Amino acid sequence: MSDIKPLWTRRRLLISGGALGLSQVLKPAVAQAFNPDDVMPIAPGWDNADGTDLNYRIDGYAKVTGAKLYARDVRGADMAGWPDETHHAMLIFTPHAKRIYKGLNLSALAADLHPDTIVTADDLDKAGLAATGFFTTDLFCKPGSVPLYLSQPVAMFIYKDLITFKRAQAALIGSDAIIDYGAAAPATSTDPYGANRFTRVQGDSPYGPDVFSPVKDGWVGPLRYQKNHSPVWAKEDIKGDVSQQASAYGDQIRADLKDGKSGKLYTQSFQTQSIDQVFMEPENGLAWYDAATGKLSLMLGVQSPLAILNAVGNLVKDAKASANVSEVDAHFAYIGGGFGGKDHTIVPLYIAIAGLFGGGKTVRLALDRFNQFQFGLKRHAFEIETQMGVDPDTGKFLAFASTMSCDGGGRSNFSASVADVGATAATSVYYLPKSDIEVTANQSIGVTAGSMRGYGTYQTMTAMECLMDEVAEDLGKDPFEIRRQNAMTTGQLNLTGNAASGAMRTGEVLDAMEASDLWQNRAAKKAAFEAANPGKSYGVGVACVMKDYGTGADVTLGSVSLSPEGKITAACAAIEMGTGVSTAVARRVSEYLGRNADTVELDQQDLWDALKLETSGDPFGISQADQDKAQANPRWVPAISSPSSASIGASVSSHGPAQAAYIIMRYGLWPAALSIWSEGPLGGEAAGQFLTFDKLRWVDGKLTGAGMEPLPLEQLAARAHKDGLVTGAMVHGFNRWSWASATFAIGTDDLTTAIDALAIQKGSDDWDLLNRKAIDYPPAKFERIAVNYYSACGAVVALSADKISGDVTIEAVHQVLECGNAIVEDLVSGIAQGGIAMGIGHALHEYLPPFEDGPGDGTWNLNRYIVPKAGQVPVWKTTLEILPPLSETDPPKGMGEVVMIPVVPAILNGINNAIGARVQSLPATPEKIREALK
Amino acid sequence: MTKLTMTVNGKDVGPHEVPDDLPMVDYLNDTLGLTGTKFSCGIGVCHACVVMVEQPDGTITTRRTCIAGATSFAGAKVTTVEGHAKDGKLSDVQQAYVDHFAFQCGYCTSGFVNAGTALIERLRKAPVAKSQVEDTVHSGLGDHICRCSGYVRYYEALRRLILTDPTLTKEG
Ligand code: FES
Ligand code: FES
Repeated sequence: MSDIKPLWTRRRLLISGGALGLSQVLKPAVAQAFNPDDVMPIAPGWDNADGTDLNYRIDGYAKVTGAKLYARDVRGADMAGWPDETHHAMLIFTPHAKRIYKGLNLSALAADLHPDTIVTADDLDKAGLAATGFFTTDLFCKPGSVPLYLSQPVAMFIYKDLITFKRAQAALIGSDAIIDYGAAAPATSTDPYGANRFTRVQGDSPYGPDVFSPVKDGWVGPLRYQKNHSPVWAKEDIKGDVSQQASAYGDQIRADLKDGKSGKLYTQSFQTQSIDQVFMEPENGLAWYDAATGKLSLMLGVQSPLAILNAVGNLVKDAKASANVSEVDAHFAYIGGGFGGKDHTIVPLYIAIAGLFGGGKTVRLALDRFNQFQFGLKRHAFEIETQMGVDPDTGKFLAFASTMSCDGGGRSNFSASVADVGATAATSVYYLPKSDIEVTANQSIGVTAGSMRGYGTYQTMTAMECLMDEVAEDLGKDPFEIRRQNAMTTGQLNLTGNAASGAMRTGEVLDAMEASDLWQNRAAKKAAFEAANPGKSYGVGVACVMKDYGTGADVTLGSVSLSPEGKITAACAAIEMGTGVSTAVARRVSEYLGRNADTVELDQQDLWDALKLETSGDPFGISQADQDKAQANPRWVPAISSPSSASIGASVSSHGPAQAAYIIMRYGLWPAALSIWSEGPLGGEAAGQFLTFDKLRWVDGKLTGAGMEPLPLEQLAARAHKDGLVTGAMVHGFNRWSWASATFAIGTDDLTTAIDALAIQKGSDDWDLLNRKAIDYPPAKFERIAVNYYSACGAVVALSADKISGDVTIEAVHQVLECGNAIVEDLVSGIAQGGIAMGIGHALHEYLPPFEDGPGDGTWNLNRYIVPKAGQVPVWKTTLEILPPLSETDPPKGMGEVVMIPVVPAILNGINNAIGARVQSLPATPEKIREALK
Repeated sequence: MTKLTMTVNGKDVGPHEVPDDLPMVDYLNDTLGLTGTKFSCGIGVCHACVVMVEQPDGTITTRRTCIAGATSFAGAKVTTVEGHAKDGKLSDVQQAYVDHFAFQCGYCTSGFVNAGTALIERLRKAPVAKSQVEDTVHSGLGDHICRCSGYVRYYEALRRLILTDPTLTKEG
């Protein structure tokens, strides 16, 4: 594209390496059918009368009445200003990656089912469209070449007529008859997507300083890859550079383990499987390209709006006249499940292409479930080879070495990062004085793997928890005793050489698990069960993990406004994945404003214009010098927004609105209250007290403190507006394993708090953008920390195994969770229960063959991929214990991911307890159980 | 092609010229604009697409709309998730689900609303023993897939609703 003009400069996002100059506008979802009011219950009732508690989730009414919320619900006619006529697009995928793709052969499709438009690689070339940046790939396989991976698209078909489209779609399920292939050819094989070595040697103390660690000395990658693509690590030299030192220390750790110098050696080979996310709403979206104006409009359901906008911007940035996009206008709907699979998905690029080739009509690209299995992002399968040295007398862990790899499939996505996160979580909740982990994210011809709930840690911590059980059993130790003995305590350094943020409460989690009825009465329950169920063995397994949350570049954008009538509007840049972030935001505001927000808006990117944010550089890789230089610009932030995930909804997304609410309380309501309390001769009721901000308390929705007359929010809001006090605050915050903090002058006061950009509103004035007086960003090298924030979760699982069939039934689960202050406990427990069901699926049922027989062949659906239904979940026998926070000022912790992990190793440990044999390869199918029973 | 008429949420719809192979979910979504009925697996496994159908004798059954042609509903009285709340007031089943935080993303919810309601209607005609309530809930909801919730809160919500309405259970 030759002439991109920043049409709406105020809304332009300056993103280095992104779609510079492209006007990008994020709007709330469907203009006509979806506005903030639609997600509010039509009948009052989601919260109580005075707004101090809630009855149900803020989007509950809309969801339970079938309101249009999801991208899948929307057609052109629903979108204000779009063409009513909706055309339908489908992708044609190839199930082969070891044959030459010759081209399409439409004669295999009935003539009346032929598409109106076909888009191929050649058409993209002609139009100057290409996927670049994070998504760099051949969007369509070119005739004459070998498909890069199983399921690589070869073409897009667009139909004007829904019925014809539907018939063609049905005719093509599981069939590649319309694709011509040539000769067999070698599969594409490239170097890995990434590899790293994490080596740590403790110094005199587990609390540091270390002799050597990634945080202290830097991260280590391979020098190069061999012909077979395995990494070549530096030659060991204890006095050499960081890579050579890592090799020296790491090799020594491995040699000592082998030679018995690190206690008794335990070895483990463990495999985890490829899994489909099975979010219930398959990926889909709408696009409309108006050639006259150059505007490409999109309706999408993704977890990472800004990343997708950038990707679409990159797609069109060199486009020719036929796709001369000058503006991308994207709407982001609620999503019907994501679990990571709608973060940095490539599907929206195809949706954009559908619009660009849609002849000026609205085009809908909606994957069906076969397509979703065939093309959607998968969970990475891991191969893990571990050696661990243990003092046989004390049970103390002495050294840990592991070589692990994961399969990223045929297109680069988050594989390198998943590998690193998995590796750095590999020892789970336990302290190891010496560790050496080599991890590689491999390319293959498999369907692309990406982000998924658990993000590598589900795989590696499951392995560790099983190894833990094996060691306990071998040494004749109680599984809780050995866990307590090795559990990392507050201040001890993790695998990267960093102390976790906050107190480690693993011991309390273990105590609660041990005290559970399932554990305490396991012998009696086993005896009773087996007497009543001959042929079945009963077993109990335990596991405890702590999952990091956050990414090292997390952003919060929050805004709160108070009307003169006391109505609170909160906004937050997050996607509602179902975890209840909108409800959490409404509640979190009440911490400072005494009651829930009346309205919550999500995804209103243009709302943040008042902050005039600018960014440059990669927040993960920026150098300290670049950061120091950039931060002199008061508008600069390391990243403008970040994707939504299950873990950071409460902890990160609600941080911004909470900060904004605090600022209104501190600089609006507090002076308003003081002025009301001081009215009257000689200073009114306040005169006899020394009133300070910290004495303020909300009681029954009214502000009081130090014996002052309780004041309703309406009265305070009216006074704040009348006196021109702060009635609105908009903030941006950035977290790199620590919150950035900045100082702003508000009136005569200097406020230092955990945000890096602030605009305030006084009375009914416009937003007033404040320059920060001082800024303290987490050092660039904090990127090395890799993990810092943790929440802990343990599971006790009772199960039975049929000794003939090998069928395993989960009889009961007791889960213990430590998550700081749970903002809405009902939401937390719901997410935890969902995590347990997902964990059961992963442990026992869910499996995708990696290559030719796998989902890339287009024949997979829920008839053969088993997602647990209620019958496979102990619905009536699932209990959850949430540890109370240490104090009411504990932050809420990310818990959406950790809650699905411990149940998996607890099931594997329970199987061993029941049948006396270990399954080391997931899922534990009846065949594997029968094999183990032999 | 069939000239199709039916009653959806108490309103007569059609006649529409509909081919015999058009799935009911597409007819609801694309012809009637009722998108509360969700497509997920398309092969009859997940039950996200379930609607209620009133039989001539007044009994309520459920049907999966992804594997049933729209024309197979000719003349039927169909209720979709959009047809339960009246004047902004949720039905008992809907209220039970929201009160109990039963769902998260909500994509499966319309199926659970219809299945739960059909179950309650069944119990109105044939109450079950209190000791059978848990199995009864499972008989009504057990075919449905929800990836977010682990089912616990859907089940508990319906159990509570059944146990608090004395007309739905009998002693035992
Ligand atoms: S969409 Fe109909 S059963 Fe799954
Ligand atoms: S609530 Fe998301 S699938 Fe059920």
